[in-house]
Amino acid sequence: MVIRKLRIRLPLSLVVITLFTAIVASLHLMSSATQSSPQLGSMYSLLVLINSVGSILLLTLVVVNVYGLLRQLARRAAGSHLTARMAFLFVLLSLAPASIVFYYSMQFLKQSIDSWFDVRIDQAMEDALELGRAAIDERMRTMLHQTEQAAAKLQLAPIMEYPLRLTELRDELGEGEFTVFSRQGRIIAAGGSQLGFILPDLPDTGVLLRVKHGKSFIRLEPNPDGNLQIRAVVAIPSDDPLFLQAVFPVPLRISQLASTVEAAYVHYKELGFLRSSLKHTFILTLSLVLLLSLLAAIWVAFVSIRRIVAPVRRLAQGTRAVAEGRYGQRLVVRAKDELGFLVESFNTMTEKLAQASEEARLSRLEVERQRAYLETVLSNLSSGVLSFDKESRLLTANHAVDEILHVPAHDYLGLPLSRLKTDHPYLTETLERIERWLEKGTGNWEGEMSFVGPSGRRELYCHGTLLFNGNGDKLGAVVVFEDVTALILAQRQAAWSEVARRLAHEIKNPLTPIQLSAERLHHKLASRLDERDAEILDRSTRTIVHQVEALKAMVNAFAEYARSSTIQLRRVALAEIVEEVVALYPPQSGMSFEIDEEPSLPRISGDPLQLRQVLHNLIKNSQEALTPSTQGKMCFILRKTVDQGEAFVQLTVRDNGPGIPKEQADRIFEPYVTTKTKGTGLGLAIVKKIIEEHGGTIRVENGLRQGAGFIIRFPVPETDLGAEANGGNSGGKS
Amino acid sequence: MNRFAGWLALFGLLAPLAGWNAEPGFTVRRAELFQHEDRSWGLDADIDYHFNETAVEAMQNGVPLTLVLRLRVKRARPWWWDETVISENHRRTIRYHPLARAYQLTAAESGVTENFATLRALLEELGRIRNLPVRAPRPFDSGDYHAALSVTLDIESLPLPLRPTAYLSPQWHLNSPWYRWSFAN
Repeated sequence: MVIRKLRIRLPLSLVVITLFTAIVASLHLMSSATQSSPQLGSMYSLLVLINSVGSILLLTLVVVNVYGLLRQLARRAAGSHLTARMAFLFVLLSLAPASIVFYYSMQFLKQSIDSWFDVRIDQAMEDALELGRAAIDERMRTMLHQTEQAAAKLQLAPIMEYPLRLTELRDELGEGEFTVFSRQGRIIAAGGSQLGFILPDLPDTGVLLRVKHGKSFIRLEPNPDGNLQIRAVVAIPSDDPLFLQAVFPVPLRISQLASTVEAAYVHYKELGFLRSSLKHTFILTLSLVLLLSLLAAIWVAFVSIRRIVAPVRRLAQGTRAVAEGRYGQRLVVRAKDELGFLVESFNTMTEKLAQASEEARLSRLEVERQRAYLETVLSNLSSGVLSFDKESRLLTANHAVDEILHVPAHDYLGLPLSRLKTDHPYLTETLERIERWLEKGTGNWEGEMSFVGPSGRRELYCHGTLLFNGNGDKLGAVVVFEDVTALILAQRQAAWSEVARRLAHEIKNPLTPIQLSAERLHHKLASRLDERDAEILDRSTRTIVHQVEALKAMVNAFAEYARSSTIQLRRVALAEIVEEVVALYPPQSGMSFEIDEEPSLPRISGDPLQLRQVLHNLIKNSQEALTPSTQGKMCFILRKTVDQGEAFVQLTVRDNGPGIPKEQADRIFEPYVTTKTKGTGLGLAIVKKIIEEHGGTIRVENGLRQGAGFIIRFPVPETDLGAEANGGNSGGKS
Repeated sequence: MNRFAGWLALFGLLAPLAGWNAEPGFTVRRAELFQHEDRSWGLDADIDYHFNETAVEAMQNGVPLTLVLRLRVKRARPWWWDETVISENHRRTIRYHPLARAYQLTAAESGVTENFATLRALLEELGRIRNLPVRAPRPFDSGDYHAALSVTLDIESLPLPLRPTAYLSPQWHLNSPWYRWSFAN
């Protein structure tokens, strides 16, 4: 990351051109310096340093790039493999030819430098120098001889004459410069052709030591002008020895030739000496050239590969994002080339993908919404709806199914109906009918069914529809059923009310004239008839009157049943009413009672008169059912119950009578459905009517071993729930 | 980047060490600055020169060797760094003449050449510096002075092909330690 931040955003071409220009210029200067250009010679070391530093910098850049690439590879970054492969190829492509060229250049360099040197040339050089030396040696011997002669002459002359003698000597020889000096180096006399010299230069002390021991000294030496001169030093024997020095110039032509030969010899010797260094220098220069060029090429390769791979990398990242479901990714189009086109196409693709996925999402939402709506509708439907697949397994069931059938239908989704049947035996008949239809049915089906569930008998009206797809293949079926128990009851009650009204109207009206007529007959004829006939008349009219009155009572009871209710509700304690009513039946009546009440029962909302009527009817019903010899026994149980969140006061009434046959249990509350010989057949119908007017329910208690049982429930008003204790009564038995 | 700088620094430290580790070929045994009556300055010094075989072989094969005599004089100043009063280099070139079988000593400043039959004679002469004129830019103020003298072989004056080798090889790092002395004016 740091490296990426440091990277300066310059046009790549500019950077590359600048870099290469700098490298080429530096290398050119260095190679020129290597070829002994005098101006650049002094810069050579600096140039080597600059190029070395440049190489190190480039090497660092390359290493940093390689390191970065390796890290990307380790992270499996997008495009890193492509970069690595391209970089490897590039390095290989640039390294291979460069190495070959380098190797052969080195070989060529070594061979060409070695070819400069030859044993014969070596020898020729030595010989040429020797020749020059020989040519001068001859002259030197002559000079030494002349100097020795001059010294001999000087020995004889007094010191005073030395300058004169020296001048003569000079004139005699025509050349040379003569100096006489003492052992301490003091100049005694001088003479010669030298003009510019103020002080003749004297030989070094080593020479003087040699001469002092009687040896003459002669030497060829270069003079400050670059020409050669011959120096001879000879001792002048005396008590205090003096020395004569003669310096003769070598003839110009010979001097020049000898110098040329010497210069060539020196140059050749130097070259020979520097042979290995020269090779090293050339190899160094060549290596630097190669290294710099290669490193620069590799670095530029890295930079350009990064640029080339950048869109590919972005594409890879974008693809990864799309694969992860992020369609919002938009890539920046930097180039107008094929890769740019690719990136643009990618952008278009992701855009379309994003649109498609958004549409899919919206339609999924819509489907969900509709499904939820449908489910809401279904669950709020009062009809039970069951759907089955073609294997007759339960697919869906709405809430009403649970209420109507009293089964947790949702637990049976995906299971065959037989399971439901096994777990809930009371549904066996109903479900078998549905199963039969599902298996064999070919079209729609309608039908009425009933079953006796936990809350009593239920009447269902079913409607089944088979489902087919477009090809006519069976997909499954839907069964809709409605609980019509209440409807059928209401219909029956309405019919009975109508009957009662008709009876009241059609029968009760003629009864009064019949009674009156019979009484009149008795009144008019009784006095005129004889005793026997009068008794017959009396008995007949009494019978008529009695029967008419009985008929009237029956019609009145019917009218009572049919009459629209006029109950006046108030808060009552049911237990108190039960106790009051029971108290009206003394033991002589042939009945004994038992009351089992729960303490702190809540009050209910009811009309005490009507409630007493209910209790009277129930007791009467029990009395009438008893065989004459049996002692009647009734049991009233008062409990508070809660069913499906609703609070009830439940009154269970049991007797020890013959009980209710099972087949009549469902219809015992309808008028004139009775098992007794006595009574109007309206008692229980009225009971049920009153209870329902109070919002309560009554049903026959099943499973009793002896006698009949009724379970009556009155709802507890919500306001009384908190004040249950008020309506309570201390429990007891009477 | 820091690591790289570290390596570079280490390299820079080690490179001169190669030269220091070599047995010093030259030694300044004595040096003295003195003032003439005309208030100009002169240098007297005794220096031992011991060339190794590599240098002698190069010289006998025609490679001229250049020696640089470096003189530094500083005036001590309180509360401030020392003031450089004199910073002079004197160059001497030794060359072998195969024809004359002589060693030639050339002073670069004056161009004066001297010939010697043996290298030893040349080196003796070279090592015996007497009254070498020192150019002081201005008369010396009174105070304490620190002087230092050293002599070194100039690698940059060697032929070009020899230079890289010479820089890297301890054989060519011929220089004397600084000879330091103090005087008061």
